[in-house]
Amino acid sequence: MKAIIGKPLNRVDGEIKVTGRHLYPSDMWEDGTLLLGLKRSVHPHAIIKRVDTQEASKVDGVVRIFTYKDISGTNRYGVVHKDQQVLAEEKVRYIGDAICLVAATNREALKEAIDKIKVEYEVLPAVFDPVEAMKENAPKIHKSGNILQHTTVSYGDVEKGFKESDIIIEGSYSVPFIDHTPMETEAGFAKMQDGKITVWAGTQTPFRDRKEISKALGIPEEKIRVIAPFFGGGFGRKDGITVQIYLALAAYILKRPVKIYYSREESIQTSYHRHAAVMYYKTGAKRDGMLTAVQARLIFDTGAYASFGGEVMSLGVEHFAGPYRVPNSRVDGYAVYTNNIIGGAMRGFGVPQVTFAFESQMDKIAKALNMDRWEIRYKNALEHGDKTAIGHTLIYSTGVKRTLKKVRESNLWKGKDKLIAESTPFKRRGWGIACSYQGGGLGVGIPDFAEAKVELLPSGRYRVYGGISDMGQGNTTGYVQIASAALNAPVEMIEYTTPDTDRTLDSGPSAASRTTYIYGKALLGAIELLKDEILQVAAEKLSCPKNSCKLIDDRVESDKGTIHLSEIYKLLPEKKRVSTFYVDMPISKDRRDIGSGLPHIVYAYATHLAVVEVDILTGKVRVIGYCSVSDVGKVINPPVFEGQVEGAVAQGIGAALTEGIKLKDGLALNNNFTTYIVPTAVDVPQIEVIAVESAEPTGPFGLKGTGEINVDAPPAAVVSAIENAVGVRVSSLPVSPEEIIKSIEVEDAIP
Amino acid sequence: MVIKLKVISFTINGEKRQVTMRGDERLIDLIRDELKLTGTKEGCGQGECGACTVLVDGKAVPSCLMLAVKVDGKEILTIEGLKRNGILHPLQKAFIEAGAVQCGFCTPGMIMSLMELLSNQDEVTPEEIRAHLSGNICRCTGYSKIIDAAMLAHKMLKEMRNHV
Ligand code: FES
Ligand code: FES
Repeated sequence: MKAIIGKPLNRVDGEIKVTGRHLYPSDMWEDGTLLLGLKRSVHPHAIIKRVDTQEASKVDGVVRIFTYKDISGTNRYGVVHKDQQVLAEEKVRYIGDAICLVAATNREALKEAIDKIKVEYEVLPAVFDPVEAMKENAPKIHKSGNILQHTTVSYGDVEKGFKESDIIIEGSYSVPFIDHTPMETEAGFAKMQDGKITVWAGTQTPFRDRKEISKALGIPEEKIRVIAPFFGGGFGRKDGITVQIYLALAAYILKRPVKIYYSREESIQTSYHRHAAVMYYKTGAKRDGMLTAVQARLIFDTGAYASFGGEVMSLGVEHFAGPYRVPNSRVDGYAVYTNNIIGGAMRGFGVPQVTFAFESQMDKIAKALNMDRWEIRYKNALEHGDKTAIGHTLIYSTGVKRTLKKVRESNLWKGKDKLIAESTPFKRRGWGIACSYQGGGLGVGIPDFAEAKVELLPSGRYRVYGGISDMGQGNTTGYVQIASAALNAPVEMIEYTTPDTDRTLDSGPSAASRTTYIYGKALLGAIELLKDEILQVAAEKLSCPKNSCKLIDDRVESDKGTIHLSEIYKLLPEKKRVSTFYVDMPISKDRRDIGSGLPHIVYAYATHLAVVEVDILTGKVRVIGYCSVSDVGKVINPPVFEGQVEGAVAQGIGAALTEGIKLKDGLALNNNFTTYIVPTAVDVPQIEVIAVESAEPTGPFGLKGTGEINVDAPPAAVVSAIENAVGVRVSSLPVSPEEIIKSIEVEDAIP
Repeated sequence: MVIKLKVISFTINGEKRQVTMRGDERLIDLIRDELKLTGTKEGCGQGECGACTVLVDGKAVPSCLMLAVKVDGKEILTIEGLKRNGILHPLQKAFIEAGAVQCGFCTPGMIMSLMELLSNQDEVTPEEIRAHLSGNICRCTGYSKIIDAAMLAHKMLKEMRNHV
């Protein structure tokens, strides 16, 4: 039955996408559709004195201008803290806070009306630096104060650990806000259908959206339906409310179809981002390289609103000292409000930030001890049964050492010396290494479940009701593949749906590397139940024992005869043609007291190897070789797995070399692709992708999760390679060519 | 401000069409809003991402940068025009088979850009493909599989040409 697992399978959504036939949220339209747009705050922190929509309403083609007064619910949303207002009431907290929602028949009218809305402000002092924002006298952004969350964890005795160490390395690191830039920005369509507000949106969380819409607008959940078709990328950005409530509000009040699609500039300024962070580390080690203590202070800038600020920072806390044995530790994490753009979920969720910092620390220790960078990692790497740096026990598959061993067998490892030997006086090459790990699922204390649903259809085919959004990662194909294997039926017999709150069951967000793991697990359960019903009626019909019946393709066979599944369909009572199955994500058994969202217990691991070339005249860095070895458990579909790795590495290379929002008083200066530079095909090398498939005992077919692990290590690996090439250690991202040139000059000046 | 309307005639995906457009409307507006061919995507509206790429008289252009009235008398090909008689174009097939599609939002633009490069090229290297695609952003794939798909399509197209 498992023949198809681990084999390449073309994506089920391939054809509708390559033909242009699939309707993305931004493609939906029908006659009479109104366009929606937002009047947004131009100040980072201000009281709204007056909103004047009179002139704007007169614009030909404008149908309606909404303010918060048109909203009868709480007018609030937010994943954990409901601190965001759908339409601002008396205060704005960042440049981009929405004040009015405009509906118009055409784009020109929409733009003109938005321009003509007059907002009078009383400008308040603002704060843009999270360290400043933590101070007593800083401007208060929310009544509760500027520290959204402080998470602190200690394990062992950190002072004792430092005393026992032979060397202590300190370092501070900073990373900027990063934009996901999914190729489709925030988009959606809505209308009233069968008496329900029906919203189609690019969303990773249709079920949570339904709740948010309901509370914010004061409309019962039963009157709301949210549908998530395949959409154009998310990477965490669409984990929560973006356009959904605006769509619902306008469709509900105007009783007309409405659509919204953010421009790239609007998206970059107003959506969620990877948190900017400053991180201070102190690490102690013995002469032989063994870590004795790590202490850190992490400050994450969550911008004007909480979104996932506390949770992302907590994941940073959990992973702060990498996949290593650290007997003594203390970490203080802060998520802090500022008047900057909003920090939220992004692939890696706090782990890329700390991985950059701590892997840099590991390199520095290796250098100070004159040790090999690979060796120091291998010596300290976690093993099954070890305790992590925050003191919880790894009871499931733990493959970091295997990834370290495997990387030495890669072509890039074997070829790196030759590549580096081709350095020229002005173009110097070097290699770098970094490890990471990433917890799967939402962590202790956060409901984390999936409920799968599968149905036998009249034709004898099956339908899997996928409950978790597919933003491109391919989980839907994974479900079809898993169903095909478990039902012993060809892929062509499996139909699928994407999430729809009216048809599929709540299975949580498309996030946290959980989508295939948890839904796949639930799906296997649902299929077992359905199979049991099928074999039961087949056995009765064929008058033979159930265990002599076998499900093969579109029929049940036994030595008493064969019966087609379309026959079985007729014999099965309606209720039994559909089966559902619920599962929970496993969570850590120890250290559950720490906080919410940590620790995890199922981890993916990776070792990355980068070879770079640094042009010492321009300071420009090019990645010329890259290898990722990751332990994600069993790989269900190799090309889909490779695609996840390659995409994540490309994003990580972007984070290392070019990406980062430049903010001036809360305004993103680089808010388009001309100035916010993401890697193109000439910036990313062919990536060598290797899987270490530790069998994960808790996962369907032994899988863990692939989505995030490979985005964590690239900046650290690239920075490690830069130092190897030119002797310059970068501690702030993205790598600045100017800084490289300057540092080289300084070093050359030293005799 | 009065913006002039203009009647334009053109061929799109083999079909002759005549429409009235305003002088300031873009080709992408004509394709997506007027003709409802939504396979062509808008990812930036500034000529920087390549998602909106279509062929105009065989040349790949970002349709967000071209004015609609400029296609008067010209021939346009969009992603919807590639599948003929129910058969996928080799590029479409190759994108599926090489696993080059994830979210797929960049895919139509990628394929149209490659149409221009591969239509009549006897030899092509992965480096040429990378350079040719440097105006097309993909945020999902890291490009490796797109390059694989292009090489595969090139092989299929070449075989087809040699057969004729
Ligand atoms: S939409 Fe035309 S290039 Fe981006
Ligand atoms: S496949 Fe998503 S942008 Fe290319």
